[in-house]
Amino acid sequence: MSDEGISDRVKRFIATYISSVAQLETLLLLHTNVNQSWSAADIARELRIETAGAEAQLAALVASGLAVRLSDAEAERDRRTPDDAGARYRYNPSKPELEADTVAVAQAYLVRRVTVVGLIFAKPPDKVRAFSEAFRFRQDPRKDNPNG
Amino acid sequence: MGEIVYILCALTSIMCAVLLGRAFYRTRASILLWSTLCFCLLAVNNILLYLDLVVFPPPSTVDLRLPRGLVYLAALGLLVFGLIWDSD
Amino acid sequence: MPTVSTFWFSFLSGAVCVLCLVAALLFVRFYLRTKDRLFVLFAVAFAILGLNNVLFMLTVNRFTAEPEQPGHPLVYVPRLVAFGLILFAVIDKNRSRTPPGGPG
Repeated sequence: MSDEGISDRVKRFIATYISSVAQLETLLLLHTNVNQSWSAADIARELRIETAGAEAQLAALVASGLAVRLSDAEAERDRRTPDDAGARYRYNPSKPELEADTVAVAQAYLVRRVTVVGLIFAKPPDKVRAFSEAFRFRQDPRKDNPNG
Repeated sequence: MGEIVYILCALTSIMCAVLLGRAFYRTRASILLWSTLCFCLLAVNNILLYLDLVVFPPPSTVDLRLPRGLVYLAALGLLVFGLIWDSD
Repeated sequence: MPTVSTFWFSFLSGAVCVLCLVAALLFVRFYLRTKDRLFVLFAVAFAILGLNNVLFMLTVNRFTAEPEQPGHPLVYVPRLVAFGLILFAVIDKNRSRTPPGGPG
């Protein structure tokens, strides 16, 4: 699968920060609505995935320095319905370059969705396997990769 | 016979370096960077070996043992570093 | 009499030997983790490269300044075998084994 038309910055961002399609879509949801906070349930509803999966994606984004978890007080304030419990998260890049990267990835996902998804799948789950898979002459983008 | 062997080894090393380098370009996994450099240097080592023993045979004043040894050491040093440091 | 330069050659040779064996050990560890045949072949290849130096040390008089002869089998046979194994590992990797099933 050719990955032309995707800038190196986007490739690097995906390789470093994005491990699944669900994670990318979670990030883009947070990014589109910068001032809005999301709970795992909100994400799950929007992306039609399991709440536990959404929770994992949000935690991963926090760990990567792309999102931040709101304090209980702020979360309480943002709650939309009384029974919407759980932590809330907001897009918050820890470095200015990450904002530019996210914008670039969002754009790339918009115009070249299939290629971007291919890039996500092309990333092997661990480095040791990456060494071994490197020796394939023809790379298969559909690797053993958990998708969201 | 030895001459062919060193050239073959150099070509194999180059092939490995290319495959690993291409994979590094795709995935940016640092273990691949170190291994790419390792096989590049192994290729250099084999070329130096060829030069040292075939192009400038022993009676010659050209003695490439020190550069050969240093390049070989660097190659394996990078490989071992990469395999330990970047294997999760 | 061992000269200073002979010491450096011995040092480099010994250092390289140990690093080869360590690399082989690391490849064994990777094989245990992934069960990927490539790592076994690489482990054996690098072990042979390491043992090449040992073999050389045991059989060649290092206290002379004589560089090895290119035609001497001790120099090129282990190298041939080692790189042959690496080459075989790469070819083996590419012999249409389906990658562990991903989503369709």
